[in-house]
Formats: sequence, structure tokens, C-alpha cells
Amino acid sequence: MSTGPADGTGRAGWSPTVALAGTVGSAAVLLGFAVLLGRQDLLVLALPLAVAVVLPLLTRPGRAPVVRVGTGAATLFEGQATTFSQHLEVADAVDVIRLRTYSEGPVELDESSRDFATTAAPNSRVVLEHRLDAPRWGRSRIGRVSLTVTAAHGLLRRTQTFPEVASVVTYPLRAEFSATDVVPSALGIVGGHRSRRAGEGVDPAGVRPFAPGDRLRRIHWPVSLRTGQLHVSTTYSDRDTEVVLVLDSAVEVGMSAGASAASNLDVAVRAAASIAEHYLRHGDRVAVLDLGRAGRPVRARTGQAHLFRVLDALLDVRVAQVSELAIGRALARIPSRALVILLSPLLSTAAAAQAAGLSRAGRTVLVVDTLPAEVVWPEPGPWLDLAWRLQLIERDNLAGALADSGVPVVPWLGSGSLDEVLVGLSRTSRAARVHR
Amino acid sequence: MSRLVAADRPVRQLYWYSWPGLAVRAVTVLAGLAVLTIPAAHDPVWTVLTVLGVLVAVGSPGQGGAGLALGSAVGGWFAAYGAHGSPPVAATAGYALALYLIHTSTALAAAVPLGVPVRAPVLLSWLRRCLVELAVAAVLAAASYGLARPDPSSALLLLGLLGVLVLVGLPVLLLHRSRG
Repeated sequence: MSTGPADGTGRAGWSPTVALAGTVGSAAVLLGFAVLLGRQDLLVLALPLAVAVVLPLLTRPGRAPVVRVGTGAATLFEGQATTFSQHLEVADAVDVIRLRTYSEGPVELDESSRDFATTAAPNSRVVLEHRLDAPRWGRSRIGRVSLTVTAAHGLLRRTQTFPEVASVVTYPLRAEFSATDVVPSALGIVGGHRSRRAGEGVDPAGVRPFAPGDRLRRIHWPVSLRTGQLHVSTTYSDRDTEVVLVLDSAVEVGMSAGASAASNLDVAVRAAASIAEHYLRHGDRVAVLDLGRAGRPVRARTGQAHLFRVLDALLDVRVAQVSELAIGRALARIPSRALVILLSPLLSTAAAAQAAGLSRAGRTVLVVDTLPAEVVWPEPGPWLDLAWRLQLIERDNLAGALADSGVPVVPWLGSGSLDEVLVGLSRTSRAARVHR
Repeated sequence: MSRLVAADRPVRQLYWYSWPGLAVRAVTVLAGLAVLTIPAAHDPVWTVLTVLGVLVAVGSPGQGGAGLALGSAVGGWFAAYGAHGSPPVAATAGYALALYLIHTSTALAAAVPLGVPVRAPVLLSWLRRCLVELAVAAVLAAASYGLARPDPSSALLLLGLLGVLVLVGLPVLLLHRSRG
């Protein structure tokens, strides 16, 4: 639980309200005329107003209330909710405590919890709990509370802001994703993928005559007996691969409203998280490059801890325009045998052009189309439909140009959506090439 | 093929009012009506000023509307009964209550804007303090009537001077000390 400052001590900070001046003035005038004119009715008129000033001021508060904030959980997944609590410590008698809570990021407090008025008895601690929803992935800070305290029956007021906040991290929902274990360019000596070379592994590659150096346990006895010559069974060696997830964050279209509506960035982040989890679980190395922050890639690593590193990096994905030069520099550092998966809505040419360039340079590149099937537009306009149709035509042209450059484009459909393309890319990489 | 979908138009949000906020302002209005109806005669200038003050107090309680309403109500009282009149005790008590209600309801309304939800204990504790203040004022008023029997002018002089001294001196002293 994060805490706020406890600087509500001392009588300083209370300021008189307009009510104090108005009431003192009216009561003083009435009392003055009561004396001057010797009228008892004016004294009676003045008495309630005078009491309403004198009594509250005699019992005025010294210390102002202090508020501390906390959340039930510091990490959530999209769509989950937790509690946001405000611990209110009231030392002296106050009348009304108005709490206004500010938040940054995707978490949401309902309207009646963001700004409300309450009170508490002196020397008491009150815990106010509110529901905190996390409809979208990202980092949030909640809890900067502005406290307006009215005391002395409306005659004194004090406003204080408690800047301390509680942090909530909302991780993207990862779809059930699995892909074929065929990858175009397997590397290393261990891993979950079948390589193109025969070696130690489990996937059978064939049977061949025995050669010096073969292990005896590899002898395939049925074939050896049938042919009268020793044969051994061969297997493909196991290899791992390096997957580089490249996020095109140049544009964001569509409304991002949790599960009900997703923008292309939502789709890209969720897809990247799913793909990263899949390949990391299979022992591969995964790197993430957000083109919006091309200078800060997540380097290729393996293991469960790396998944959280990747997810942390995905939380910071924002729309950002980056020069083609910066994108080119970042992509040029990708290892030549890595599988590059570009997650892009194909609405800008910069990333697509660089992807085509990578493919021409011999790298294996695959584009995952992250444009949602339904793009929710918040402000419809008279030309929007036409503009959108033109944009889609341009997008189709871009996809066609990419395909011509040997870069397949597949829509993100969750589990299995990359299988066909990965098998195709694997075949292509095995095919004979003409070197000029 | 991606499809463009218009976002659900949010239901045009009416400004949301909390019932305690409305109730407090209703008290101000009722007290203002009482101030206008209790005196036997009405002066148009003071009436207009009182109405204006009440409207400002209801619409923007943080401004000086209550002060204007109280000041013009005092003026209206003088206009109705003259400088040496002797209004009925019931009317005086009712008028005093109305003036007090204008002050206290506006002070509370300034603390709870209309759109802010107010929890029930706020109103209950406010009401309790009002009853205490009214009780003290009633005791003092009754005492002043008792004291004034033998010699009204000297008792009034004493009470009035004491009241003015405390009323003006106390806020000045306390606020000066709190700032120091």
C-alpha cells in the first residue's frame, strides 16, 4: 500500500469562507441597532447568527484529516477489477470532507467514487473502499487525492492535495496461441524445433546404411535383418530459434475500450504477448522491438522471467512517429537468421517498406495484420466512410506489394493463425536459391 | 476486410445532481420565502435585493449571496416595522430562524456542490450542530427577555455590546492566531 504525507498538523492552512464574513457582518449590524434603538427583536434576530459564529469558532479544528491510499492488487489482467481504498484519519471535528481522486492510465473508478463528500467523527480512522476496474492494458497511477475540508460549521475551509499514488499494472490478455514447431531458420543446438539437419533429436528423418561412428542403439533391426546389412535410423536434430517481434506503433485506429472494442495497438500488444509466451514456453529466444521506441529493444532471451520482461515492455507501447532512418537502424541490428514477425495494421508505409527491405536482404519476415475486424470510430463524419474505403484500398496495395517482396501477410486470428505461413516460409528457406 | 463501426453514442449525460445538494438548496429557497412573507409590510427595494441574494446563494453558494440576502432581510425588517416598532414575538422568532437557515444552508451548500454525492452522516452531523446552535440561541433569547423585564435599555445595551465585542473580536483573534 502506498501512503500519503501526514502533514495535516497545525492550525495553519484553514481559511475563512464567505459565510463567515456575511454572518458576522449581519449579526454585528443587528446587535448594533439593537443597542442603539433599544429593540429586543433585533437582539433575537442576531442571536442565532451570533451563536452560529461563536460556537463553531470556539471548537474549531486544528489538525486536518490525512488520507492514505492503497489498492487490493498491484497487478491485474485486462477486464479484472480490484479495490481502491482510502484510509482517512480524522483527528479533530470537521463537517464535510470532499475527496477528489485523480488517476492516470487505463484504470477506472466509477463517478461516485472519484468525487464525493463524507465526514467522520474526531479521532477516528475510516476506510473507504471503491471498485477499481482495469478495462485495458497499461500502467496506471491512482490516488492523488485533493481533500477539501469544511469545518466550524461552514466557516472555515482547507484544501490539501496528497500527491502519493498507488501503481497498478494491467497486463494484456494473452489469447490461447499455438503454432507449428516448424520454423524457417532454426539455430543453436537445443530447443523445441526440428532443424533441417539430421542429428540428435526425436523426430525421425529416415533410415540409412550404418557408417563408422554411428551409435549401436541407433541400429534399425527390422531393416537390417531384411536387407542383411546394418542400417541405422536417423533423426532431425532439435534446434531453437530467435523470434523478433516488431511492433508498428506509428498509428492507432479504433476505440480502445477493453473487451468490447479494440484498437490496432490492443490487437498488436495482445498478439505479441501471446506469440512471445508461446515461443518462450518452447525454449526459444524472443526479442521485442517497438518501432515507437526503436532505440530501446528488448534483447533476445529465453525463459519465464523473460516473458515478464517482454510484458513489461509491451505495457509502454504508445503511438509514436519515428523516422524511417531510426526504424532502418533498429531493424538492421536483427540477426540474419531470426524469424521477424512484424505486427502492423499496414496503415503506414514506413514499417512495411523496411520489412520488404529486410526480406530482400534474406531475412525471414512475416507480417501479422493487426487491424481489428471492426474498427470502432468515436466521431463519425460525412467523409469518413469514403476516406476509410480509400485507406483500405491503399492498405490492400501495400499488402500486395509486400507479398510480391516475399513477405506474407496474415491476419491475427489467435491460435494457429501463423501455421500455414510458417510452413510455407520454412519450405521457401529450404528451396535452392540462385546466387547472382 | 476491416469494417468501420460507429461508436455507441453515449447517452447524453444530464448533469447529475445529488439529492442532498438539492435538498440543502431547497431549504435556502424556503427560508428566503419565509423572509419575504413574515414581515407585515414589504419594501420593493429590499424585497428585490433579498430575492437576488437568495438566488445567488442557491446558484453559487460560494459567493456572497447569503450575505446579501441577510443584509437586505435586515433592511426589509426595518422597512416593515420602522425604527421603533415592536413586532410580534412569533414573527421575530420565525424571522430569526429563517435568517439562520439561510446562513447555514448556504454554508453547507458551498461545501457540497450539486454534482457531488453526499454520504448520509454529513447531513446528520450538520443537522445535529444546527439543533445545538438553535438551542443555545433560544436559551440566550429567553434569558435576554427575562433580563430585559426591569430595565430593557440597560440590559440590551450590556448584551448588545458584549455580543458585538465577542462576535467581531473572536474571529479576528482566532484567525490572527491561526495564521501566526
